[in-house]
Amino acid sequence: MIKLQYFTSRRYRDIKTADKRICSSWFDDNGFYFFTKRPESLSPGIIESILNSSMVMVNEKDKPLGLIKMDTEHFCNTHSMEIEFRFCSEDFYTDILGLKIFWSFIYDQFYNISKLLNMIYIRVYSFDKLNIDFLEKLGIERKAELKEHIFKYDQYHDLFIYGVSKTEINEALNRS
Amino acid sequence: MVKLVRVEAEREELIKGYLYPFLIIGAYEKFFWSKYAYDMYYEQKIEDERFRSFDVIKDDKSIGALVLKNIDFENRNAMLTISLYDPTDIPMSVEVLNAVIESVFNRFDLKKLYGLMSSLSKYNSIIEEAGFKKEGCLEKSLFNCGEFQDQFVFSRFKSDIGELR
Repeated sequence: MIKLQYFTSRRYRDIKTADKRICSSWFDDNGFYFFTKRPESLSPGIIESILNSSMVMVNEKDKPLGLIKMDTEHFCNTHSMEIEFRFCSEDFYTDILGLKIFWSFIYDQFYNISKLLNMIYIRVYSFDKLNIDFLEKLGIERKAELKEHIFKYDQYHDLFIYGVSKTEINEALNRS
Repeated sequence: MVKLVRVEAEREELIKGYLYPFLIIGAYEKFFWSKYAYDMYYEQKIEDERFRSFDVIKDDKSIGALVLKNIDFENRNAMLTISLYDPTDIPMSVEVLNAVIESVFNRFDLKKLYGLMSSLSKYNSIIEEAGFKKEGCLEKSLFNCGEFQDQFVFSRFKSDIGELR
């Protein structure tokens, strides 16, 4: 069973050191960007502060499965939120487990956490093929393409914004 | 001659005078805040490095306000919001916007400015005339006047300035 666990101040201290190390190691991955600005500017302190305000998805054995960061600044307001997510294993992007993790998060946000929420935007960078394929396979619509938005690997890359609305989820639930 | 003057802390009262009633195009247009909420927002933002607010001054007269949010010095982009007293005068507004944007690009060494705007906003024609390009549409993302409205994402690159001339 999948649990969603928030990394917020007190809880973060409770997490085992070994798990913290696993989460920190994701930042060494080349495909990992995650609200980090330029990757070469990352220090252990910055990584810790990012993790501190992120949400970690874990299974019932408390093994980390992925990371979600919610942003409150760019395109969101009281009725929408913006996230960036990353699974800890590449297999999850093609696996049924990846689908379960993703939809459990979306369902949790729309129906358990915020009744006001109408839209969830997902930020994906053009070099992140795993995420793009994953979202397009799910049929999630690309709402905007911000050209040359971030700088990585000595060149500029685009930022894609995907969106999932509550009405779409409601319709899908009614159909099933 | 159009100038940008940074709004400093001691000029707080001045900016409040005109920002408060019609707070900026984009996500906050026609979004009424209480005075307490506005004060909190302002105090928080004035200390934020990624936030800058300016008076737009033409011929020694303030004609609007410009705010840069989420200034990303590493990726060289920022989110632009602008508010003019008289947006109905389109040619003048376009001229002001072009002058202001060029000044912002040079002052902060940015590559790109982007922003959000309601599809029903009166600034749409000004933005298009000024050379901004639409990069997408966030459907029903703004709750305004009792209904959900679409918002356009628009952007402009520094390299486009030369082409327009």
